[in-house]
Amino acid sequence: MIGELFKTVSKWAPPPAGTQSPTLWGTEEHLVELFGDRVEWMALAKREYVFRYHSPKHFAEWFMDFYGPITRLAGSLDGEDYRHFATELADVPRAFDLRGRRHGRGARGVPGGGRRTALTRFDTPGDTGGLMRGGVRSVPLIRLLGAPVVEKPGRQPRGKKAWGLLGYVVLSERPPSRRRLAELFFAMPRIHLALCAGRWPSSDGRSAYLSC
Amino acid sequence: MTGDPVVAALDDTTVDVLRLDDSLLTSGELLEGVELESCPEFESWLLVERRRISGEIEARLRQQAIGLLAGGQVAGAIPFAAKAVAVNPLEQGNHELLIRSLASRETGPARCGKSRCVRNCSGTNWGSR
Repeated sequence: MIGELFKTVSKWAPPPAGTQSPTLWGTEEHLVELFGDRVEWMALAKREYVFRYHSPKHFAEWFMDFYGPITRLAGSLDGEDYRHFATELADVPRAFDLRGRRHGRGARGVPGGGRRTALTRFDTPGDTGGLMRGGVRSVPLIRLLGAPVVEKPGRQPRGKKAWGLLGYVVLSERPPSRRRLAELFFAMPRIHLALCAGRWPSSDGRSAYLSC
Repeated sequence: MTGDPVVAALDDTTVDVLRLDDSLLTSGELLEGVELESCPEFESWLLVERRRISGEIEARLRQQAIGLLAGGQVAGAIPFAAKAVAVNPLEQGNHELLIRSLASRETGPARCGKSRCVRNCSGTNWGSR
């Protein structure tokens, strides 16, 4: 459906010559062509995303209000052109929801189709961002300098306290005791007792403590 | 993280702050955006650690820049010198290193123009004029 949306928009604002459709990123062939054997494929699965709007008109209004490129295009139109463009946008979900399925309370859903992909990068010689050079597979990286992030597909620590705790443990000269961490981060007797009893969360801090 | 004392099992994982040389040019402040007002002791620790790591990064940046300059790799030295200035803009030595790197690379009118600009700026900002 997104492909049809882009097609509709391109009638009003043609893309630069030679530009490839971004929907190609939803095809396995294109991904393989782009990345080839420079990455290790961890997951390549087709997933369906359902666009939920109250009506085709609501769909058109939402994209014209909030989707940058379409908002800009709509802002450059006036009068009859604006209405015509809105109608064409609304026709896109209509064409995909012929069965009139309804999803949720008063919402109409259109399956968009898509691909969810996970891959691991292999560093190549000359790549200054990598940890290892010469085609050696890079290991997962925890970034604590700058906005903290774990550069690995999967769950990220949630909350500032979890990040603070991770940073403290990593940078401590000696492994800190549970008692010390409890004093530092959670000055609460119940949590302190839970920590001392050995119930320690695997990755995420606070929620696990509070459920002890 | 397991055990008591708590140990982070990082066998198959790299932490950038433990390998500063790999992330000198991309590094930012330690745990940027992490402020825990309800944990004053942690806040004090974080403040000290940020200073310590920032100082270490600055020293390594300068070391890299000087090493590259000495080896004739002027273009390679500039990003490190520029980053050193960004990390600690109040350190005159960082500015001098950057200027030296830029001046070594450029010749002719561009060099003269930049050097004059730098002279003007430095004279004003550093209070020598």
